[in-house]
Parts: sequence; structure tokens; C-alpha cells
Amino acid sequence: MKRIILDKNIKSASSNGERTAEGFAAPVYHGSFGSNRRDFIGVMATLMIGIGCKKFLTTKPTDFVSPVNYFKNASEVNSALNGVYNVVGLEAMWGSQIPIRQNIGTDESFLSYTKWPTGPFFYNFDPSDPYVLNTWRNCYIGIERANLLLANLEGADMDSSEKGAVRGQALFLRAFYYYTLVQYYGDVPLKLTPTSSVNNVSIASTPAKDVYDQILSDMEEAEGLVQTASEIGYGGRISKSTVRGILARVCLTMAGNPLKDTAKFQDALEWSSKVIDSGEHLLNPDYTQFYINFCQDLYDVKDSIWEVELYGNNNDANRQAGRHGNENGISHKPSDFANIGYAYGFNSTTWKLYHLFDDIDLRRDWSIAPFSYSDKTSYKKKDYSDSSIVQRSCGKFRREYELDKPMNKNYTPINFPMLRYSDVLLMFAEAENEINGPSQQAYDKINMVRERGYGKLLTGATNPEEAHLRTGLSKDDFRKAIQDERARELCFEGLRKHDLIRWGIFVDAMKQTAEDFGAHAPASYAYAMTAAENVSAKHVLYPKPALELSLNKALKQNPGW
Amino acid sequence: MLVCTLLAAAMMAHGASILPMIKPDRLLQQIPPLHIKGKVIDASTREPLPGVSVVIQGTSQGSVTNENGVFELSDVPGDAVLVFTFVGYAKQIEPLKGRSNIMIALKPSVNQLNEAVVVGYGTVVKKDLTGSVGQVDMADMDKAPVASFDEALAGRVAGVQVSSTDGQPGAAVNIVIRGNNSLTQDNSPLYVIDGFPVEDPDNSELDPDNIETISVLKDASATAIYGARAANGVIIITTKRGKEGPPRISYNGYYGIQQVIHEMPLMDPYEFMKLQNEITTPNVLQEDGYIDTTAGHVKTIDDYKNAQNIDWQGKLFRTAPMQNHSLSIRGGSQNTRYSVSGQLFDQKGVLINSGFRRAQAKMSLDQTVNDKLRVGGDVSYTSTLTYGTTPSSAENGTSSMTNLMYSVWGYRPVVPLGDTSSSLQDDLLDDFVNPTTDYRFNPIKTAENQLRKHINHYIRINGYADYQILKDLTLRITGGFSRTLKRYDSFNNSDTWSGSKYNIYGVNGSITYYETQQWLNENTLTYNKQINKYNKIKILGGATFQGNKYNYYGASANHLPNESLGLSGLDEGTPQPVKALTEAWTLASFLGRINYTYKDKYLLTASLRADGSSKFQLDNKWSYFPSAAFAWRLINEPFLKNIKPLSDAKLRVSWGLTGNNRVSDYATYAQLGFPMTAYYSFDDALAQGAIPEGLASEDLKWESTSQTDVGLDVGFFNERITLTADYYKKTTSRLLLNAKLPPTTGYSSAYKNIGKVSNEGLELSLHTVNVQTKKFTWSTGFTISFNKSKVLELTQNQESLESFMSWDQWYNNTSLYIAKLDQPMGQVYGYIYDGLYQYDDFNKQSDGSYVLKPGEPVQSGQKASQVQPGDAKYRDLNGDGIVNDYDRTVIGRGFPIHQGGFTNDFRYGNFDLNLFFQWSYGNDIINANRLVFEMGNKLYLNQFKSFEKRWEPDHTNTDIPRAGGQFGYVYSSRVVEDGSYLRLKTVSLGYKLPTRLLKRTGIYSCRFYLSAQNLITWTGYTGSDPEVSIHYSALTPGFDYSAYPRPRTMVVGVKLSL
Repeated sequence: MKRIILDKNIKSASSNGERTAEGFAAPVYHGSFGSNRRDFIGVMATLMIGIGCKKFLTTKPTDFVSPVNYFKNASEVNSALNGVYNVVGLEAMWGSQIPIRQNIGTDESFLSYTKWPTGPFFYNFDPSDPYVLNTWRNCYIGIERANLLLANLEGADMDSSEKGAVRGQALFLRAFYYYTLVQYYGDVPLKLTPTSSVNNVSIASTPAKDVYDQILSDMEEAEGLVQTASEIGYGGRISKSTVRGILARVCLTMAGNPLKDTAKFQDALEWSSKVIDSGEHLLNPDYTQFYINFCQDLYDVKDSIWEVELYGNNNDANRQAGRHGNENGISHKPSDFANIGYAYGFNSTTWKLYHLFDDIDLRRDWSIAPFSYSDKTSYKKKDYSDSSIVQRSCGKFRREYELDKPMNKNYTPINFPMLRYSDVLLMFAEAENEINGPSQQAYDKINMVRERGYGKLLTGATNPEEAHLRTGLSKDDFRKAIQDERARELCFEGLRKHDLIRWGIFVDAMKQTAEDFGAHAPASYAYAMTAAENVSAKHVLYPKPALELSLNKALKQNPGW
Repeated sequence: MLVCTLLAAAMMAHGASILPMIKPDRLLQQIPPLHIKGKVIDASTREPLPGVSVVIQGTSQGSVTNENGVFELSDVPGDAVLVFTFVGYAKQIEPLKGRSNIMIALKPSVNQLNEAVVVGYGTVVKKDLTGSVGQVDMADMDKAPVASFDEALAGRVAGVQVSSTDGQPGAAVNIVIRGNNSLTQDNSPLYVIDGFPVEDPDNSELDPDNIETISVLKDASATAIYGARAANGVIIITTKRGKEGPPRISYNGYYGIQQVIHEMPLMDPYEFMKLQNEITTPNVLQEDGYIDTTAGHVKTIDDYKNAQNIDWQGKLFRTAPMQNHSLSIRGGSQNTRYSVSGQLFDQKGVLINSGFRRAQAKMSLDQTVNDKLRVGGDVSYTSTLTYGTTPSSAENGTSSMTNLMYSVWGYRPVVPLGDTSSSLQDDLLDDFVNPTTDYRFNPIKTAENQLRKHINHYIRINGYADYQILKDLTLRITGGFSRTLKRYDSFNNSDTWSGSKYNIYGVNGSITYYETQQWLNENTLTYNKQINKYNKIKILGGATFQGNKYNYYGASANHLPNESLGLSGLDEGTPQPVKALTEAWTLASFLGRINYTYKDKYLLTASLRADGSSKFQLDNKWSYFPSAAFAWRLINEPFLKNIKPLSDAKLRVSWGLTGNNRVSDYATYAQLGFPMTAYYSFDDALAQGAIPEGLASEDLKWESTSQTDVGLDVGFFNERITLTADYYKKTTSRLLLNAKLPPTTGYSSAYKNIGKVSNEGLELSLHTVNVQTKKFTWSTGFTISFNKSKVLELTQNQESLESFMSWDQWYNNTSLYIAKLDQPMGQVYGYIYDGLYQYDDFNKQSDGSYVLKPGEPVQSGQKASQVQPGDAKYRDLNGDGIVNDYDRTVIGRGFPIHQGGFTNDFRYGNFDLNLFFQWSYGNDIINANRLVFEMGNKLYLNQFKSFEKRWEPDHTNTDIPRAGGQFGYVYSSRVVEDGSYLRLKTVSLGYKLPTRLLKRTGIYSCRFYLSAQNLITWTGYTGSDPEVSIHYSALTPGFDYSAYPRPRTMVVGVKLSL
């Protein structure tokens, strides 16, 4: 009501064309007439319009919810949490591309698709590469979602332990995205609060060590908040075991290159022990069944501690399917792909991986399919000749076990392992060896994994010692054995590249791989040799994405890029 | 809100009425009233002129001439002055001086300085214009047989740049006035249709025959009265209304045919087989039955020289009919004028099963209630149907193999000789092609079976009341409402690529409804006063309010079990994501303008508009758009009086600010969304995710464009030669940019006021009457416009903004355009094509193979050993031996240096002939078709005839790579072609039946005509048509892939008036 002021003042204000309190210019016409009275009427009319204008010019969004008034109760908070999880399952992330395309070029596997002359899988890429950008982008999308949830969680009206569990999961996932970022890109910007403005968006990198410290502190807090694996009962949600197991992985990474914080071996040992000692976990006696479970949405949280859950096959409205079994399946190009799973067989074995196995290791011919499917209407198998090695592709995820029909040519509901009990056992053995040397404890854990791999845990199996690792190894030899065992057990699961990097043997291993291609692969695989040859020291990190650099002036490019 | 306004208006009216009314001066009657009779004829032809309006000056009393040009008036004061006006003729003022019988000869107007020009919120006499306003010569443009006026607009008005997508009936035509201001937002002008501002109209809604005038407001002086939405220029369209005179029934109808201008020449069977022989092994050709070398059945490549060619283009294209019927009745008395019109337009596409249809009905009524009050209104209803496959869009959205023309050009042109059982032409797929890796699909089946239907309904209702408060003061209140309902149907049965068993979706379809509702209220007061002999003033003030609501809803489903049910079986399929959206905006504005004229020599215009928009927050809601212009009519200066040939000379200078608010309605709000893609499944059960989808750009403001214009209008020999020249420079700052955000924010982009762009240009329009005799007249019009854009500032200190063309999944990640600082927007970006690697570049090995000489550049990812003679070679700009990202440079310009039109009107007796040429010069087109059809890397994919000139061991003097001789997926100058063209756009020959002949028939006038559109084109462009711009935007002009071919149209018609 402040606007009702003296006639005179209004007149001078409006004839100067100033803004009134409502913020609009007085119409220019009214000042041109003679009489005061008409001026007064004109001004009154203008004011009345003005009062109406404020309301008139406010249109509230009717199509979406504002974050300001969300996060009120358990259901809203859980929806926001689902959004944080969503990033794990994206096609560009673990739904497909991180394990299938980005981490595939190692000493155990390569991408056998020649249509792309460039890309990280061929070690021929630059900062503008879409994979380089997407991994970065998606991690920060996940982080922003987690930050927004964490910033708003406190006010939600819900049970406090449930709220704690949500907080724990959000903290863990944020930390996991940072762990991914720091492994791929080194020093990265550390953002722990939601983005608040479209301006001032330049953020400098935080040293990798500090990012790791934040990861540890977030994960450690999460460990006290989330439920146990048995309470949850399925593999898609973050459990205490997941947090502990991933903490072991983070600590091993910190203990290796580039930080070389060897004190972290002790932490790795402790975290892996907590998983083992929880009594909740046990290896599935049947190595193949372990993988068939993924294809059929069966859960075995004893063995598959954390898996990315994918759903449906994108034939329906929900777009939550992945490409496991399709790109990394056994090559099969049926015409009836609604009933017979279509697969490209892009993930192939190196000569080395195949020969790491001995003949009675059952894992070999499961992990590396000794055949392709030849028929257009059935799963008829056609064996590879004994000399055809690099032609063979990953056999862990087999669409013939998929249940959802009609199938989609390219998308599958097949889940994918993020943390396995055998991985935890091997991490324990590795940490134990680094601290105490090849102790019995270390031998026991690696032999558990090997026994299962050789089928010695199956009912009626005999001679379990056939599977055992040679005794009396030196610390260095045991380390080598662990490195090989991890390839045998975990091949094609997207872990190898960063294992090699933290062991500091990535570049050498790729040199050897290139030589192997030269010596043992047909000429048509020259591209794979070239890819391995391309690897140089700079490849232990991705470059920072060109897009980020062009927009975020506080950021510096990684060395060598 | 409306109540407020009306109240305000009423109060003002009330305020005015309190004052004593000033009665108009009555003329003293010295001479007794007369009954007068007169005749009006054409000064040059001496033919009587019917329909001429005769008014006694200073009164509303008057009459109209009959078919013999005769009029009668009674009770006329002897000293009265009569005013004669008629469209196309100079206004004549005749003092009666006591005569009771007069003969008047009206002179046809050439370029009338006294013609009224429609500008924002009123009209201005042409000589008094201070701003830059272009007018479309509707009489000329009407001669083009087109569905929509925008198809004929190119080259008609200097400064208006028209680029159309392709030749598809109903395809979008992009109109830009004086260059693009905005990098990422819409650059189309504001349209004002019968007073109703519309930001994004469908121009195909308007029947060109129903348009009375089109004015193009170009400089800020003219546009600033539309303030916040005027930065891209304003196009004001008025439609025909009733005129005083006897009821006139008019019919305009034509019927004609359209044919594809240019079919792409493809390889014939022999050349095709020769290529296959090069690509594959004889074994494959033998297996497929193309050759047979077994004893006794010898069949070789050479035998295909006389083989029967399958002409897929011929099967797809047709000679398509096009017809138009417009019927109207218009007329009125002095107090009541009416108009009723209807139109049916039906254009079948030159591609089978495609076309455009429109039906329209419109009524208008203008009523003078009394001396002070006039009211009127109009109602129109239009429905349009656009149907058929769109070749320029990829069926699956990502692969260029799903565009229609891929299959048309690429399908096998020949079946194995002697194979009489081949069903290639009837099958959905080519048996020799693997459907999982190549998406070729029988194009005839696609065109016949894909259902694509855009069904639009438009309703517009406008009303107005003019109240003359005082002799010089008029209040005008208008109200309008419009509703647009659009429906898009899509259905793919089992005979289409997407619905066939070879794809994953099954029979599928979708229906989407889009609805826009708009209302408008405008209240203006106009004060128009001749103060004294020298001073004239016109003041306009007003308040306007507008509101808009938009929503859409859509559903789609896959795997429909009963395809015979069509779209009504949608509910039986597997549901797909549902679409739903609602949006609204409101705009309140206050405006004022003063026109002041001194001695008819110095003209001053100043305007100010304040706009308040709901799209912005708090202090940013309101913004002010001032403008000022000064014109100096040099012709009225004594020093020019003696230059006899000169009939007009005027210098104009203007400056002003205009705005742009075209951002999404809620860009200032943070958004939380629940998209289908943000779910996660726990325990194999879906759980919905809530995710932040947009960051609030709370500080968002208007984008602002300042423009300076200097113009000159000169006329010679009584306006037989007129020239208008304008130079302008405009700078757009605080660009509303959908700016990229660093990914660390967690968001990809947000609207920001960032960036700066300038446009500078020159426009010339020349109109001459070359010959004017009783029997023969010849007049010409010529327009040319130059525009140069420059990017001055980008997001967050970015030095360049790269744009991608989304047409093929292999190319999508390579940018094709670049906007660099201090350079024009829309530049083409890629490698410089350096011809081919020739034998000289290699060392021949003892085994006959060729090894690239050291130092010769190779592409990124390519091994030197892979390079063979005949391969494409790109320039290694930085000389590091590898052709990669760092070797990309500007390889073309997307926008032309100049564009224009040249029209010639001839009249000989009753014959008239119009020839309209239109051109574009200096723009490049990326002919992406050649990336696919001059490639030779896929078995059985036919290629352009030009690929016959490819590199072959015995044919090395060429720059077309060998079959498969392109490595990777890169853009290079090889496919960037000069897109300049000159086109004989419209030709129209008419014959008007002589009035004498018609006298007894009751027919008022009758003209028969032959019209043609796109008759001849001169261009060096090798694609189907140079007037093409697929996926057009300010950053991505001039791209061609799988365009709908442009037709040539020829019609015969009649224009009849009763």
C-alpha cells in the first residue's frame, strides 16, 4: 500500500518514466493531456493495472516438482535415492560400457570390433572422446543427485534408522562415484554440496589423495548406517558387506600406484576380514551357476555381494535394461532375435588369458567360450579349432539362459557383478601377502577360490588339492600368483585395467600383449596389436574431458594429454 | 486482470467525456445542395472503373461507382470536395466548384507515396515512414502456385532470408530477418496476424489468397513497439475483409501438376555390377547368381550392359496433382462491411502417399454503429492435414540407413540375369542384405505403409471497438482468442521397417495431442492532430495483455497384436513412455509512440514499450524497449526543388532496442523430474527415481538487441524509378543461450544471459517502370541483401562453439559446424580434402604391393600399411604426420553472401506476364548424400552415377576415392559444395477477358492464367536441389541428406469475380 502517495509525487515519478514499486514504466501517453484530474485518473488506472500485474505475471510451473518442496517423507527420500542408484545401471556406466568397452583393453581381453578406429579401447583417443566425457559426466550427475539428497535429508519426516540407511547408501554411492573418477582422472574437483547457481561454476581439482580421504571417511560412515547383506537379501542394494568390500578395494588402490600409501594394506586386510568374518558369505559351489543367476535375476548374496541390477529388455516403457550378454556375449546373429539372443561377441580373450588356465580349470571354457553360435534359429554351437584363441569371446553372460521374452536384439535384463566374495578373498590374500608374506591364511583364501573354480566344491568332487596353488612361493611369486588368479577369476568384469595400474605393470603388460598378438594372432587382428602398442605412460589416466576444460577454467589437463 | 484493464480504459474514456465536447466545424453552406452524377475512368486505358470509392471530404457521406464507372450523389454542397480512392490508383481530390456532372480519370499508381503502410498498431502513409519497413507485393506474390505464402517469400523483400527444409508439402520454411541474433534459440520473427502477435505460427495455416498485406518491420524504429519479442523482426499480416461496394463473389481456382525437378542419376546395372565385382569376390557373385562361369552357362559382368534397370526413383515419384479453390463474397455499405470466404487446397506430394490439404472458412464483419463507434470482428477456422513419410528424418532416430532415400537410391537396380523368380520388388527386404547390420528396406513398401499424419485445427476469433472520444482522439479496444489443436498419428504396420518382424518393436504406433490456447487484449489511444500548417503530431499509447497455455499428451505402444485395427488397437500393445506436459506464460505491456512531422520535411518517431513477462523473476520481469528515428524528406527542401527528375528523396536514421524472451517458460525454476530413464530395480522390481533435471537460472533476463539503421529512399520521374537502400548494424547482447555447463555441475546446460552476436548488412530494393503506354507496360523489381554475422562472445570464455549434425550414428560425434569468436556463425568445420593418394605416394614392393612413402600423412587410427592408392587424403595442417582433430579447419560457409529476387511484370493489352527470379549466392551445402553414395563400401548398395568416375587402377586422374577408399567417418571439403543458385521461381501468364465482352454476362472480371513454380534452376550443386537445409538452425545451416525432392509446379487457373 506504500504506493498510494501524494498525487504530485506520482505525477513526477511517472512523467520521468521511472519504475514504480511494481516495476513497470508508466504509460507515456497520460502525461500529454492537460487536466490534473485526468492525470489522476490515469495514474489510478495505471496503479490498478500494476497491482494486478504482479499476480498476472506469475505463472507457477504445472509440469514438474521443485526440489525446494520435495524430500518431505520416506517415500520422496527413497525416490531421490533411487535416482542416485540409477547412475550405476546406465548403459554408459556399468549397465554396459565401463566393463564392456572402457576397461576391456588389457592383458586379458580386447574389444574385437573394428568399425571404430578411435576410442579408449584402442588407446587412440583425445580429450574430446565421448567415453572420456560420459564417464566423467555421469559420475558427477550421480554426485549431484547424492549431494541434493544429503543436503535435504535432515528435514524429512521418517524413521531415524531408515533415514540413516538412506544417508549411508547416498554417502557410499557418492564415494563410489568419486572413487571411479579418481581412478580414471586423477585429481578431480571435489563437490560435497549441490550446485547452487548457474554462474561461478569453475571448480579446481582437489589432489587425488584428499579425494581418497573423503572417499574413506564417507564410506566408513556409511558402513555404520547401512543394513547387512542378509537383512537386505538381494544384491542390488548397498549392504555393510558391500561397503566393507569396496573399502578393501579402495585401500588396495591407495596402497598401490600412484599414491603408494602402503599403510593401507593393513586397512584392506581389516575390511576384507570383516566381510569374511561376518559369516554371511560363502562361495557358490558351481562357478557356472554363479553367472547363470545373473541371467535369470536370481540372487545369491552370499557370493554376489553387490551387483548392478538391470531390468526388462527395453521392449517395455521402462528403459532399465543393459547390454550384458549382448555386446559381451558369445557371438550369435540369429534372424529370430525375439526368441534367440542376439550377441556381438565384442569382448575377446587375449592369448595370455587363455593360457593362464590349465586344462582342468573349469573356469576357462566357461569364461572364454570355446565356440560361437552358428545357427540363425537356435543355440547350435560351433566349436573353435584349437589354434583359434583370440577369436574366442567372453562366455560368462550367456543369453541362452535369459528368461524374459520376447527378447530385445540389443538389450538384456542380465545383472552384472560389482563385488564378488571371491574378489574379497583374493583381496584378503593380496593384502595378507603384502603385510605378512604368503602365510597359510593367504594360501587358504586363494585356494578357496581355486577349488571352486576347479569344481572341487561340487558334491562328489574328489582331489581338491589338484586345485591348490603351488606351496612355498616367495612373496613376489605369491603376488604374481594373485595377479594371475585375479585374471582367471575376474576376467571380463572390468577390474583388470585398474588392477594393472595400481600394481604399476600396466604399460609393460600391454607391451607384452602387443607382442603376443604379433606372435599368436592372425594378421586380421593387427588392429588389436596396434591398440596395445598405442599404450604409453599417459594412459594410466584418462585426460580431463575437453568439454569440462573449455567451460571450467579452474581445471588443468592431466600430464601427457 | 481483464477487469482491471477494462476498468482503466473505461475510466480514461470517462475522464475524457467529462470535458465539453468539441463539435466539428460545420462548413458554411453558401451554394445550394446539388445532385451530382459522374464517371470514373482509368487515365491510361480510358476504361470505366467500377468500385471506386467517392467520399465528400470531411464527411462520411459517399458512394461507389457501378460497373460502368458511374456514381451518383445527392444533397451535395456545391463547394464540396470529392475524394476518389481505388486500390492500385492514385488518390484524387477534386473540388466540385458547383459542377453537377464530372468526369474523373484516375492514374494508376506506380509506387504510391501516399499508400498506407501497415506498421505496428496502425498505419503510416508511405512518405511519412521513418523506419525500415518492407512490403510484399501481394499482387505479384499471389501468382505463385504455392500452399503457403512463405514458400514464395524468398527474394521478395530485401533483408528477409528464407531457407526451406526441402520440398516436402508442409515442410518448415525458416524465415530470418537481417540475420540470426540468437545462437541456440529460435530466430524466427514475431508474426502479427490481424493484430494478434504469434511467436511461432504455422504459416501453412493461412490461405495465401486471403492475405491482403504483408509488411516486414526490419529496423528497431519499426519493431520496438513490439518490444520484448521483436528482436528478430516482425511480419505483419492482414487478411482480406469486406469493402464498401456491391457484393462481390470471387472465385480463384487452379489445377496443376508437380514433378520432381531433379532425380539423382544412379549407376546403371552394368556399372553397378562392375562395382560389386570390385567390392567382392567372384565366388559371392556366383553364389548369388549374378555371374555364372560354369561350363555352358556363361554369364559375365559384361552381360549386364543391356540388363533391365529397376528404377526405384521412378516407382516412388509421381506426377502429382495440386489444386486450389477459393470462394469469397465480400462487400458492404457505408456502415456495414462483410466478408465470407472459404478455401480448399489439396496438394499431393511428388512422393507417393504424401501430401498436404487445407480447408479454411473465415468471416469478418465491420459495423459503424454511429459517428463515434465502430465495431467489428472476425472468426476463422482452418484445418490442415500433412501426411506421408518424411525422408529427411531417420526412422530410428540414429542411423542414416533408416532415412527413406537411403533405400531409394541404394536398392539393387538389377536382379541376376535370367532370374525370373526374383521378388526383390515385392519383398520387404533385399535377400542379399543382412537386416541386422544394414537397414535397407523396400522404399515403396515404406512409403505405402508408414502412416504419418499431422492433423491440425486452428480457430481464431478477433474483435475490436473503435471509439472516437474526440475528433482527434480514438480509443481502440481489441480482444482475441486462438486455439490450436494438433494431433500427430504414427503407425507402423508389419510392412514397414520398424513394424516388421526384422525389428524389435513389432507393429507399433503413437498418438500425440498438442494444444495451444492464447488470448489477447489490447487497448490503445491514438491522438492525431494537425496542429497548424507546419506541425502534425500523432501519439499512440496503450496497454496490452496476452496469455498462453500449452500442453501435450501422447501415448505410444509396441507389439500391437492386431494390426488390422490400426491405431485404435494401440491399447492392446506393450505401453511405451507416456508424454504429458503443461506450460503457460503471460505478458503485460505498455507502449507509447509519438510521430511528429514538421513542414512535411522533418519526421520524428519515438517509441517506448515496457514488457513484463512471466518467464522471468522479480526485478527481471520488466524491461524497456525505446527507439527513435528521424527522417528528412530532402525532396521538400528548396535546393532539390529544381532537380526535375527527382520525385522523392528521404534520408532515414533510426536506433532502438528490442528484446527476445524465447526461453522455456520455466527456465528460472529448478526442476525435479521422474523420467522413465531414471528408475532403478531392486530385487528385480522397478523403483522410480526422482532426479534434478534443471538448475534454476534465477537471474535470467531479456536478451537485448540494439540496432542502427540508415536508409535512403529516392524516386525519379514521378516515382517511375524508386530505390530504397538500407544499411544496418545490430548487436545482440545478453544472449539467451542454452549454455553448456561444466559437467561437474551435474547438469548439461542452463539458460544464461551470455554471449554476444552482431549482424551487419546492406539491402537494396529497386523498382522501375520501364515502359508504360496505353497498350504495354513493363515494370521490374529487384532486391538484394547482404548480411554478415559475427560471434562476439560465448559461454564462459569459450573460444568456439562446435555443433553436431545428428544424421548418422557414425558421424554424430564429429562436429560439423563451428562458431568462432569474431567469425560468422554457421561455418562448416572439417578436414581439407587433398585429393587422393596416388601411385607416386607409394613405394612399389617386389611382390607388387604398395607401401606408403614415409612422411605421407595418415589418419588418426589408421596404419600406414592400410593406406592404398586411390584412398581419400586429407591435409595434415600441423604437419605432424597424423590427420586428426588438430587438422580440422573452416571448410565452408553456411550462410550466403547475398540473396535476392528479380521480378518482371509485363502487360500487353489484356495479357499479363510475370517472371520472378530468385537467387542465393556464396553459401555452401554439405552434401552428405555423397558420404554414403560415393563410398562403395557396402555390397549391393547402389551408388550415384558420379561414383563411376572413382579411382580405379586404370583411371587415376580423378578426385573420387576408390571403392571403400575412405577411412573412418570424417567430414571434409570433398562433400562441401557451392550452394549458390539462380532460379526462375515463378512464371505466370494471364489473360483478362475484356470488360466489353463481359458486360452482358454479369461477370465483373475474369482472368485465365498459367502459372509455374521452380521452372528453371541454374546451380553448380550436384544434389537434388540447392534450396535445402535439413535440421536447420542458426548454427547448422545448409545440410543435405535424404531430402524430399523439390517439385516443379505448373497450373492452369481462373480468377473470376461476379
